[in-house]
Amino acid sequence: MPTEDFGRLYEAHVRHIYDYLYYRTHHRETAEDLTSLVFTKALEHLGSFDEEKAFAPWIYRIARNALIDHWRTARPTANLEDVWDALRAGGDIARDVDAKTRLADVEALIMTLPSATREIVLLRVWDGLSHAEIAEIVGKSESAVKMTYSRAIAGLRRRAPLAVALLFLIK
Amino acid sequence: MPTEAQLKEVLADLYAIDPGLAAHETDLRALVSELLDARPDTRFDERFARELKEKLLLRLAEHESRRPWFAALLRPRILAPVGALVLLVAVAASIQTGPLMTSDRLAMNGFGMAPSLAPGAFGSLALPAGGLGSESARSFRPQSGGGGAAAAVPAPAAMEAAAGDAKMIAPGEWRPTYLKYSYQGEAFELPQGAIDVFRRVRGAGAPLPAGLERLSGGLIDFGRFSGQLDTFTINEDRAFGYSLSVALGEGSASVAQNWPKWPHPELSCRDEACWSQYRLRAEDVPADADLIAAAERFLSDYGIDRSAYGDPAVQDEWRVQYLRAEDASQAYVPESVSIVFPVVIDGRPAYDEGGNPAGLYVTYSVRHRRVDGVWNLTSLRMERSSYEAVADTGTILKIAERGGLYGPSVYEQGAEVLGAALGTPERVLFRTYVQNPDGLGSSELYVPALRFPVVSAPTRPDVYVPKAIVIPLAAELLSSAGAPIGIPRPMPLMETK
Repeated sequence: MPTEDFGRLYEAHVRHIYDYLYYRTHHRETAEDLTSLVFTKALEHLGSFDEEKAFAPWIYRIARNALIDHWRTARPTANLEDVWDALRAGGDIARDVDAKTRLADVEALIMTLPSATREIVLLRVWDGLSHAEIAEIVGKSESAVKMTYSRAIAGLRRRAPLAVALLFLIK
Repeated sequence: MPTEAQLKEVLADLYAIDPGLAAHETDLRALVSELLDARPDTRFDERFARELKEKLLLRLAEHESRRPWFAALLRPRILAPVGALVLLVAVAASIQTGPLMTSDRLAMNGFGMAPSLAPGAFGSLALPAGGLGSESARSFRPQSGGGGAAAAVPAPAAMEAAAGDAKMIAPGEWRPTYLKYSYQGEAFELPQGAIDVFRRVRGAGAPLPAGLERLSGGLIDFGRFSGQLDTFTINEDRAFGYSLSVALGEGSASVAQNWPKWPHPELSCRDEACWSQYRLRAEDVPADADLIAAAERFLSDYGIDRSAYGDPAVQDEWRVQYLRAEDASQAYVPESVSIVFPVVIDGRPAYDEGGNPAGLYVTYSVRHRRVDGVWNLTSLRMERSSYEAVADTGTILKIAERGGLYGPSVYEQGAEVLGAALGTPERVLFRTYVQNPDGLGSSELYVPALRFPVVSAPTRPDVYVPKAIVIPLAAELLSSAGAPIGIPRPMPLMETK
């Protein structure tokens, strides 16, 4: 792949990949380290990238694997895939204060979702990816992703209608 | 809080999957709003992204440098118009001596981290006697393979009077006109302590390709010479062919019209009637978006890496004078318009001493409606060294008041002084040249600077107004800028009819 092409792809995706990793670690330095790792791995494996296909799902898959490796290294005895799993497992997790404050109201809700479901919901609502892209990243069919997503939102609505509605009205 | 548009988008997506959810819109709006609102602020650091990009591209370049140097030339689109000569040289070089430009290919790719040298490693930054516009200053600028399009040091404003206007100035009426700037922007801070100054690392010659002696044609025995290949030119033998000039030692290349292969019907004119039919009009110049698109296409087609450059801009100073001209039909319209891609180092764009973007220039022929040149394509490997930064904003503003480093600190008696205003500055880089400490040659430096936009100025047609004033932040540069530059006077001119 020509240098200028890689440069352009980097510019187009570095912010998204960093955000993706931050949403799942809540720690800036960790997100930056993982972002470096992701793009380094992408560079090393450029030969295996099919230039006929979209770059985004490919780089997100690398990011997802890097994230899982990170949490499993941090807590080898626990089955962790993101910061939410780590919070649920308890213990001291390095998190930026801003993130903690901002998420205080909905953290409990998000943590009620299973890992795989939570991932799909956050990829859609926070990362803004399409169902097709999410399907490629998580390795499911697009229809399965849509179903998981809509059922998760419906479930969240049932679990916390009043509290969330009150917060919404207050704000 | 999320916007209504964001909420609607998410809800519409949900209802498309499960229309039954629409019955719970109130709850869903609250929930989705809360989820969107809770999304953390990731505090993305642009500097981190830039530094990571540099590291990655350097690694990629190191990998690519192991490929034969002519691999890029063998892309079909490039190979077709290139003469047999370069292919012979390439094949001979690769077979006999290995890749022609291994380390220089890395250099020519235009990126790379800037290793840090000892403080003050580039020697004195002081301006030469007479300032930037002096002969001694101009002698520092290398004659590279690229012609460059850097702005000349502007003379007093009246000297730029009405370019293209047929009426010339009669003797006795001229007096110098200066702009005096007042700062009307917000308070700004200066970096504390030292600043990083960047120096461009030049290239190096290449081993002479074996078999070169076969090209001598009996003129002289090339094989008797040892040394390195430095400059060479390739001329395309086709209609609208280009001439590629490369200076390996300088680390630069340029592209120009292969003059004999481009039509120049206007040169055969001998009278006004003939010239008139070839006179260009402002409406012949394409829109900026089209010019930029053409330039970007050319760079892409010819494998010129843009990763070290910022967003391009069209240089349209000619249009200012055109719009002010009394007779537009006689006003100057350039044969070629330049599109500049400013070089970006450490996240900051670079400017020259005239306050114009400094970087890669692509020229577009208005007459022939195609790109006809690429200038100042250079290797952009940098070194850095720290220098003392100016600590006092008053010093900066004093120099900005007179129009920058080359502005006069005293006005000639009888000069006309007009007022202009400067806005809040942005941090940029200032490109300058200094003599090397050993006295041999010069170095191209990029010094952290402030760029003050000109926010109001006279609109008289005889007054040249720059878009901005750029003031470098190196204390030594500013302290040496005190002496006024000699004020040039025009030769006596006769009025034409």
